[in-house]
Amino acid sequence: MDVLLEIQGLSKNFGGLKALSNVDITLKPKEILGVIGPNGAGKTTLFNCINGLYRPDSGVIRFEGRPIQALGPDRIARLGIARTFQNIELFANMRTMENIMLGRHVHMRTGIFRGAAMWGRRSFAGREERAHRLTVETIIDLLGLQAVRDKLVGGLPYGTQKLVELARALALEPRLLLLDEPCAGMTAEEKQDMIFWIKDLQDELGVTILLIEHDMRMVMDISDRILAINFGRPIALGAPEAVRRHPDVLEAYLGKQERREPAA
Amino acid sequence: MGTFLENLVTGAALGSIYALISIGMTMVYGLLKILHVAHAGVYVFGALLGLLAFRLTGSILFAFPAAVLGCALMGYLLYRFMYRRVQDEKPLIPLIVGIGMFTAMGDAYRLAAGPYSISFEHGLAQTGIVLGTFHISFNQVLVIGSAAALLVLVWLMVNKTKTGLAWRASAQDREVAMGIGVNSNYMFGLNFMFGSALAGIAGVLVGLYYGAVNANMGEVWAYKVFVVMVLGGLGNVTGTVIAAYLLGLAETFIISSWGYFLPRDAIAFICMILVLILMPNGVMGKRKQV
Amino acid sequence: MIPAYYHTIMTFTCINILLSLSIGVLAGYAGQVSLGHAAFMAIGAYASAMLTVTFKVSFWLAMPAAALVSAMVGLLLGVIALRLKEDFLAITTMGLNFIVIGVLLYAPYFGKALGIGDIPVPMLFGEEMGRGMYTALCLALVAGVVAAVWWLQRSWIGLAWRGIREAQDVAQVMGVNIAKFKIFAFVISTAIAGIAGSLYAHFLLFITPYDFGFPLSIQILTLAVLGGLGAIRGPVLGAILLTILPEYLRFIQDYRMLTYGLLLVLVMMYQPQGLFGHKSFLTEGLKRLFGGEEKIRGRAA
Repeated sequence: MDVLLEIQGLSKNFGGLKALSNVDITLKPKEILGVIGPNGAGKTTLFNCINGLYRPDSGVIRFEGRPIQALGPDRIARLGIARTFQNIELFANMRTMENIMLGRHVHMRTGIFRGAAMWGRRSFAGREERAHRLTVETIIDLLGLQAVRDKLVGGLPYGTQKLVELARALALEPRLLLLDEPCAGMTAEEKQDMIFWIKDLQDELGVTILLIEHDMRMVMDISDRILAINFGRPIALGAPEAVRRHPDVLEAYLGKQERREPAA
Repeated sequence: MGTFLENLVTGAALGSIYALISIGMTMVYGLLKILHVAHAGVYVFGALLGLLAFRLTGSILFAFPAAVLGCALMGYLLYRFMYRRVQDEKPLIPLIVGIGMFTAMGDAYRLAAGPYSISFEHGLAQTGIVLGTFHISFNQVLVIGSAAALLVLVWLMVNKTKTGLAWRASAQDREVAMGIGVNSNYMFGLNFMFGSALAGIAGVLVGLYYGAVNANMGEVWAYKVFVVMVLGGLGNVTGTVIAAYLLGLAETFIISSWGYFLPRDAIAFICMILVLILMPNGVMGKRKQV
Repeated sequence: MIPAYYHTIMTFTCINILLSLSIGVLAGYAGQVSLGHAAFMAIGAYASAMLTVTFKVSFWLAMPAAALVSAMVGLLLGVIALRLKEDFLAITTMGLNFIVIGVLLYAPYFGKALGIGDIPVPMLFGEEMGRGMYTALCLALVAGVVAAVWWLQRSWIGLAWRGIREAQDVAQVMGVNIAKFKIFAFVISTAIAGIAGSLYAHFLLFITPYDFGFPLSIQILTLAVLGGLGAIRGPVLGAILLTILPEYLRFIQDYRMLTYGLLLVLVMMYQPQGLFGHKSFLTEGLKRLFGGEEKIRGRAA
């Protein structure tokens, strides 16, 4: 199959405001698609529609050929879509390990009652838990989080929290990863590391990534293709260079002339 | 016909009392989004104070100002020293605080006034208007009349005064109102005093109406007020008043035709739970986008 | 030989620990405080009493059945709960208390105001259980329930519950089915309350609807709130403290509701995490006293 995620005619209104209108996206496996646009352009709304936090007003979202726009967030997570948030959304009073372990939730196969009867290490549930712990350890090693493994995440530095969030999303073993400004608020050095890891994810794990980012250099550097949106409408889609030179994109960013249309 | 009219009057009297008690709680909910359970304790305080004033002076005319002043003060103290500390916490915390306070108040009244009903007779109770088979007691006239007068006062206060404007603004959107400086702890305190004063009057009226006051009289009412509030659309004063009269009338007519099939408080709660499940914004409430 | 008086205190302490834990599970895992838990105790007590008195079922079957009946009503409440905001859900649980008592009082099957009497003492090896044995049974059940709750909390189910408590939306994005786990917490909690009810019925041997009124719900809530909602430690210690203390301090008994009410107010205002909760003045004080961070792990889990 050549298409992992297919979005057709996606629209979402809030009151009279068109947060998204008629967005089309086709995402191939192992691709990194960057989404750019000014603040309030509808980027996060797009993510919220894909992972089920918002229900779109119209349009179809297909994941591996299956329409998902009517499913709840937990069902969508089960299909293999994970995300991070623009403002870190971690379980602050839980340890790093526990946060990431919760990302394994969709892979916990024992039912509620069998899971409850986890007597001893050799039981089915006990073996399963050890397998999950192993996966989590791998992710912790991969992202270099060993030092904060047993710390409460609420007290960790900002950049580390961003990483824990990424780790938690990875624990889900997603086929599609939605990253909402993974580098926001990071130091230059942390940004470099993050870019490195994202590339790694694509190359080694074959994860398809949809990425929102404000840092133009980073997004140009990392993305295979770029989608620019403004006022909820897609204005350009294509190779990074082409999108960067696109007149509408320049206009949206530099604001040559106000083209603010009343929301109808 | 006589029974119908009598039921109508009885229901209206009951509704008047529901309305007077509920307004204070609705105002607090509208403003602070707190379920102020201790309000029912304020209402009992009003009844007891009214009785005390009546016993000391021998005139029911003194019962009302005593209840108004005492309850307004108590309402203010409850806000100042209790709710103000927890008003920004998760809604469950002020709720539990309120229930704890109400429980403690109930026990304190029982210790002070004893566990039995105390007579609150004022001599005029036997008089009334008789038209053929139709009979309205003086008490019913008193309750319905004073409730009507007070509701007009509330309406004027909410709709025609600056305080009322601020109140409506805060109930609409507390953050915005805070931002433009309308809102303050002063507003909240005033709100508690006003609602509590009304509850105090309601307490005296109930005492006169039933001819007795009782330390436990707050219990059934405390929970009924929830029903009225939920029916009225949570924080909506007009809705609450309408719901109060509807509930009073419905209860009277249902009980007069079918009798009790469950205790009154159980019936009221069944209604409330059904309304909460089926109409989360109340019968009078507007549909809101979540 | 331990005097009967102590058996009574210990049995009631056990029943209160179960009730308090039951609130703790609900608050800690479904993020929900029940203001009507006496209703579930009533359902458990009546189910157990009716099964043994009317249908001559053995206590050993009646008690699990009581837990099951209570859990089924809990399931229903859990489903309703999904539609309500937290403070209105609290009021709904309170309403449930009044409705259950109303039904027990007015419906013809439950002995109305007189309740149910002549509840049999449980049989063990063909003999009626002595008071001491009964206390031992209660202690064993408390140990079993504490172990079960502890296992649940350290399993992936507990992890999902904590995720829901911390940030419901985020947990959902991680694939947690919120409805399923919340309802599960309701079921576990109400089953525990049902067991407590059954133990109460077979200890006192007669029950009336008035035993399970709203004031009892407030007392149960106070046990859990005082100790600290959520953790196992909080509700257990809170229940022990509030059951044993009144036996030695007369004034608490004389002014019972006044004490409970004021305790609720003061704890919620100044120590919402409870006396034994995370970073409460008591746990912090003990920590300072003993020094070791690991000795008292202040985890409100």
